[in-house]
Amino acid sequence: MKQNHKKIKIYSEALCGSVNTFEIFQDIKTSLHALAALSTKDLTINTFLKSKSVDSSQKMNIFRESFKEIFNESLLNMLLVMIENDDMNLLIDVNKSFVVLAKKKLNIAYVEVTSSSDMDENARIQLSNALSDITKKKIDINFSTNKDLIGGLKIKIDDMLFDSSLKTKLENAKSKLIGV
Amino acid sequence: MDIKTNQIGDLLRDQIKNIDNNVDVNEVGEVLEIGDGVARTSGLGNVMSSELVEFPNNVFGMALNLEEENVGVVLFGDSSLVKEGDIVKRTGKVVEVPVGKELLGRVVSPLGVPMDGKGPINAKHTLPIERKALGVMQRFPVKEPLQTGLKSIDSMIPIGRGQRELIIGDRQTGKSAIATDTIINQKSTHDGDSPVYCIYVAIGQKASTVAKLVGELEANGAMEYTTVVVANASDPAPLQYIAPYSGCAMGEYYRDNSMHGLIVYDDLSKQATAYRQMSLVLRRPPGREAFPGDVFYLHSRLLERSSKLSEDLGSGSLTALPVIETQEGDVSAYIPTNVISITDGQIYLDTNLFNGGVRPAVDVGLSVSRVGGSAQIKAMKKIAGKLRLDLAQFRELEAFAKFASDLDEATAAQITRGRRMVEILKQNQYVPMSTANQVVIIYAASQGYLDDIEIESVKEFEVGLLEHFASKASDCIKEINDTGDIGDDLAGKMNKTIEEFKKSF
Repeated sequence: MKQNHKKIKIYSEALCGSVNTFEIFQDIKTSLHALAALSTKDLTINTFLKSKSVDSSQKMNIFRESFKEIFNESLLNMLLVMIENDDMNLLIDVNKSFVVLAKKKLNIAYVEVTSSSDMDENARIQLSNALSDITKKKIDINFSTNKDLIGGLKIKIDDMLFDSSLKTKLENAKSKLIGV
Repeated sequence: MDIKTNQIGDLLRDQIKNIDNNVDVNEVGEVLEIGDGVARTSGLGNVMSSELVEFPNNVFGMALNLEEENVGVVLFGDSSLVKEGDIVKRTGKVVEVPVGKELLGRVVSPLGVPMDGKGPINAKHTLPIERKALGVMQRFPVKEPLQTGLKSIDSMIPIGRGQRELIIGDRQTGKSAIATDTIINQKSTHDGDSPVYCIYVAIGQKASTVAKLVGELEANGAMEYTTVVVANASDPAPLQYIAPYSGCAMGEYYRDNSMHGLIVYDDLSKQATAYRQMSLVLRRPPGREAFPGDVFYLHSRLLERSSKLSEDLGSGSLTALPVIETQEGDVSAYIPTNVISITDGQIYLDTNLFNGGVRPAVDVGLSVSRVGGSAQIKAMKKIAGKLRLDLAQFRELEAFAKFASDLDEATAAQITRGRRMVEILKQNQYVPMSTANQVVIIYAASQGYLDDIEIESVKEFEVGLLEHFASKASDCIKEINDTGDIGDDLAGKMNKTIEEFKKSF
C-alpha cells in the first residue's frame, strides 16, 4: 500500500513537472481521464493491460503507435514507463494526484455549476469570466443540470459550495417554520 | 375546529419575510466510501477533530480521523441514507448539547434531542461534549457526604460529593439498582439547601429496560430532578460512544454553577465495546482484547471531569457512579482494571451473595472508598468504624465454623453478631433510608441489642424500632440530623429508647 503511494507520487509529480500552461493541463487531464475510464469500463483493454502473456515491449509499441498523434508527449512517455513497470493499475490514482498537484502549481480552481435548466453558451462564458475574476484563478469549469433544484444555481469552487438554489431555500424555510 | 385562513396566512407571510435571502456558503467534501456507520470523505480540508458534519437527509456525523488524503467520519444516523458521492458539509462547531435545568425530567438522546414526546427543550445554554478536566488548583478535597440511602454503602463505603465510585459486578447482581436507589435518595436533598441534580446515562441497554427505569424514577418522584440520556443497544456505536460525554457536559453545568450533580454511567463496558467497534471500522490499530490503544484515555478523560470545585469557583460538585459489568467475576480484565485504577474506589457486587439473598450484594472485602470517613457524618463514622472489620472477620469465622461443631463462646458471639449485622444491612430496592434511621439501626446492632433476637425477626425488629423512634423519640432523630454526631447524652437516650422498645417487642 505504502509502496503504491510512493509510486503514485512519483508518476504524478513527474507528469506535473511537464505541465506549464492551463491548455496542456486540460489536454493531459482529458486524455488521462478518458484512458482511465476506458481501462476500467472496456473489458478488452482491461484484459490487454493486465495480460502477462503479452510482452511489455509489445504493449509499449501498441501504445506508442496508437497514441503518438493524439497524446501529449510527456503523458505518452509516462504511460510507457508505467507499462514497463507493470503499474497501469495505478492509472486512476495517478490521474487524481496529478490533478491536485497541477491545480496547485497553475493556480487553477475546479468549478462545478449545477443549474435547474440548461444555460446558454453566452451565460456560461459570462459566469466563467465572473468566477475567474472573483477567485483570481484560472477556472476549470463543468456545467450540469438538475431539475430538482427548481431554480437558482449551485456553484462548487474546489471545497466551497455556494448554494442559491430554490430547493435549499425552501428546505431552510421549512426548518425555520417548524422550529428545528 | 374553526380554521382562520387569514390568520394562518398572515403568520406564514411573517415567517417567510424573515427567512434570509442569502446564498448558503459551506465548505464541503464528498463521500468516498460508506459502511458500518463510518464514512470516508475527501475534501473538508479545514475540518476540526470532533467537528459535527452534515450529510444529506438530515444525517449528522462527527469527524474523527483526520488523515492526509481523507477524513473518517462516524455517523449518528442511518448510514443507509448516505451514499457514495454525496456532499458532506462542515458545520463549523464541535458536537455540543443543550444544558441546564430545562433538561430536568426529560429523556434525551446523546445529541440532546428529546425522546419522550414532551416537546422541544428550550435550553438557554449549550456546552461541547468534550471538555478538558479541571486542574489541581481548581479543585477541593471531597468532604461532603453523598448519601445513597443504602445502609451497607453509607456505613462502610461512604461516597462524597465530587467522588468517582465504581459499581462493578457480574450481570444481574444489582448494579443498576444501587445507582437508581442513589438517585431516588437524592429527593431528600431537594428539601434542603444543597440539592443534588441527577443524570442517568443509559448506554447499550434495551429500550424496554430504560423505559422501566424511567417509570420507576417517575413513580418515586425522582424524574423531577433527573435527566436520562439514552443510547440504546439498537443505536449506532458512535451514539453509544458519545453518550457519557454528553451526560457529563449536562452534569458540568450544575458543577460550574455552584450546584451539585450526580451522574451514573450505566455502563462503561458497553461504551468501550462501542468504541472498539468504531475504532476497528476506522482502521485504527487494535491492541489488547482488540481495544484501541487509547481506551484508557477514553475513560480517564471522562471520569476526571467529575470533581469538587474550590470555593473560588463556587464549591459545586459532580459525583460520578460509573458501572462496569464483569464476566464471571473477573475484575482483572482489561476494562475493569482500567476503570478501577481511575476511580476513587469501587463497590463490588458478588453473584453468590446476591443468590444467597444478601441484597444489595456488596462484597465488603473487595469494596473500598478511597475518600474514606471524611465523607461521612461523625455519628456514622463512630458507629460504623468497626463494622467493616467485624463483618470481614465474621465471614472468615463463618466459613471456619462450618467445619467445627464446638465453638468457644467468643467466636459464637461474634458469629451471632455478624449474622444479625448482615441481616440489618439487607435492604429492598426503591426504599432508600434516611441517614438518621441508618444510624439508629446500625447503632442498635453494633451495641448488641439484636444479639438475642431471632434472625427471622430482625427485619420486623428494625421496622418496629424505627417506628418507635419516629413516634416516641423523634428528638433523638432530630438531634442526629442537626448535629450529625452521637454525644454521651444522646447515646444514653438512644440506649433507653431501644431497651424500652425491646421490652414491648
